[in-house]
Amino acid sequence: MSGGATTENGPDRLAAARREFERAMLRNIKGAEYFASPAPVAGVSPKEVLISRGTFRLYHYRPLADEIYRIPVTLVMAPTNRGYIFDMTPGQSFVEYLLRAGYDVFMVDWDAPRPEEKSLGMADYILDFLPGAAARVRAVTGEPEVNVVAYCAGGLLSLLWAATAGDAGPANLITFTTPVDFRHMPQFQAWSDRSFFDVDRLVDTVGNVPSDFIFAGFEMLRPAHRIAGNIRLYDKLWDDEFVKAHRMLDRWGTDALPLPGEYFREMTKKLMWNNALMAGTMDIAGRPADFGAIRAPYLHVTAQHDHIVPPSASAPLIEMVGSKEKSQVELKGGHVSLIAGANAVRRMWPLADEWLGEKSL
Amino acid sequence: MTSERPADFIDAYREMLGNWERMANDLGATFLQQKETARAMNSLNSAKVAMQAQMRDGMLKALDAIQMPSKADIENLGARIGSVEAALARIETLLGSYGNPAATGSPKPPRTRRPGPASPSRSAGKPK
Repeated sequence: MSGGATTENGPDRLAAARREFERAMLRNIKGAEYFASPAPVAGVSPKEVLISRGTFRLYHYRPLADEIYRIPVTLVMAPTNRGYIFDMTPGQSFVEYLLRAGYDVFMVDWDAPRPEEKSLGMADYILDFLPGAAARVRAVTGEPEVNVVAYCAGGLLSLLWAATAGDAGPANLITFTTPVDFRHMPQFQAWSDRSFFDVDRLVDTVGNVPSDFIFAGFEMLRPAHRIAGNIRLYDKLWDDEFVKAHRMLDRWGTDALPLPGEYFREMTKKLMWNNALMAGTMDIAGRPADFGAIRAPYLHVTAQHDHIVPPSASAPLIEMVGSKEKSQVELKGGHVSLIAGANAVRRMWPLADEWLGEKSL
Repeated sequence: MTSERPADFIDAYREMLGNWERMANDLGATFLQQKETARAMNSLNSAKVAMQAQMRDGMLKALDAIQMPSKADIENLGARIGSVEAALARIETLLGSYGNPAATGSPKPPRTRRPGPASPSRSAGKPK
C-alpha cells in the first residue's frame, strides 16, 4: 500500500516541483518588472467634479446603464483616506459595479486639508459638507431624495448627519464598518489615554494632524502585516492578478490623509475619551445628536475580522438607530477586504445592490 | 491516503508564514497596548512636537526680521480665499437648482429602472 502511495505521489511531486520551478523563474522576471513599472492607476471611472472646496470633493460618475434608478446614491468616504478604494480598477470597482447595476452614483471624497482648514471640526462635516453634497446631488438630478452608502468614519459622519438633519437627511442609509463604542478599540484607547496624551498640545502645535501620524496608527494595529505582506508578495510575484490587487490595496493603505486638527481633537475628546455616543452625550455644535432620531431605513454591515473597527465596537449601533426598518449583516473579511477585492465582489457588492435596488425606485 | 502524504514544503512554509504573522501581530499589538509602551511612544511624539514648535518659533522670528509673511499670514490668506470658494459653491448650487441639470453635459438616462430578479450572487448575504 505504501509502495503504491509512493508511485501515486511521484508524478504529483514532479508536477509540483515543475510548477514551483516555473514560478521561481516568473518571480525573477516579474520581480524586475515590478520595480520598473509605475504604480497602478486607480479611480479611473469617468466622472465630473461637482464640488472642489478645500478638502471637500463631490464627484458625479457617468451612468453606464441605459436606464437608471430614480433615487441617486452618494458614497461617503472616511476623512482619513481617499475614496478610490470604492473605484480601484475596472472589474474591481464598486463604483463601476453600481453604475452597471443602474445607479446614478456620486461620491463625497476628501483631499488633504489645507493648513488654514485646521479649524474644521465635526460640525463642518456634518452640518456643511454632507448637506452641501446632498443639495448639489438634488440640484443635479432633480430628485428630492438621496441614498447614502458610507464607509468607516464616513458612516459615522453620515449617521450624525441623518440624526441631526431630519427629513433633509438620507432617504436610505448603508454604513460599512462604522464604530460607535470606542471602548472596544483597545489599541486606539491605549494610545490616546488622557492621562498622558495631550491632544490640545499636539493640535495646537501641528495644526492639521500629519498623515504619517494617522498611517502609523493604522500600521501599529498589525505590526507584522507589512513584513508578511512583502514576503507573500515575493512568493506570489508570478501571479499578475495578485500583484495588481496587492499594489492597489497597498497604495491605498499608505495614501492616508492628514486630518484637520479640530476634527482630530473632537474625535479624541468626545469619542475616544468620553465615548459620547454610548453615553448619550454626543452633540454637534451644541445640537444633541441622537441616533434614535434617525428614521431612514438602515443597513449596517460589519466585517468578521476587522482589525480597525472590531465587530464589538460597531455592534451596538443597530440598537441605537431609531429606524423601523433596519438590519445588520456581518460578512467574512477584514476592514478593507469588506469593500474592495475578490471577497467584496462576491459578498458585499451584491448585498448592497439587493438592499438598495428596491429602495431606489 | 491523502493524510499519509508528507506535507508539501512550500505549502508548509506558507502556513508557517500565516501563523507567524498572526502570532507577531497579537504579540506586537499586546506590547503596544501596554500603558508603559503607549506612554513611551507618547513621550517620543511629544518631544518631536516640542521640537517642531521650537523650530516654528525660530522661523517666525527669522521671517519677521526679513519682513516676510509667516505661515499664519499665508493661512489667513488661504482662509479668506476658502470663504470666497465656499460662497461661490453655494451660488453654484443655487444656480444649479434653478437651471437645467442637463447643462452639466452628462448623459441623462431615464430614471425608470426597477430591480431585476434576485440572482444567486445578489443573495450572497441576507440581512439578519
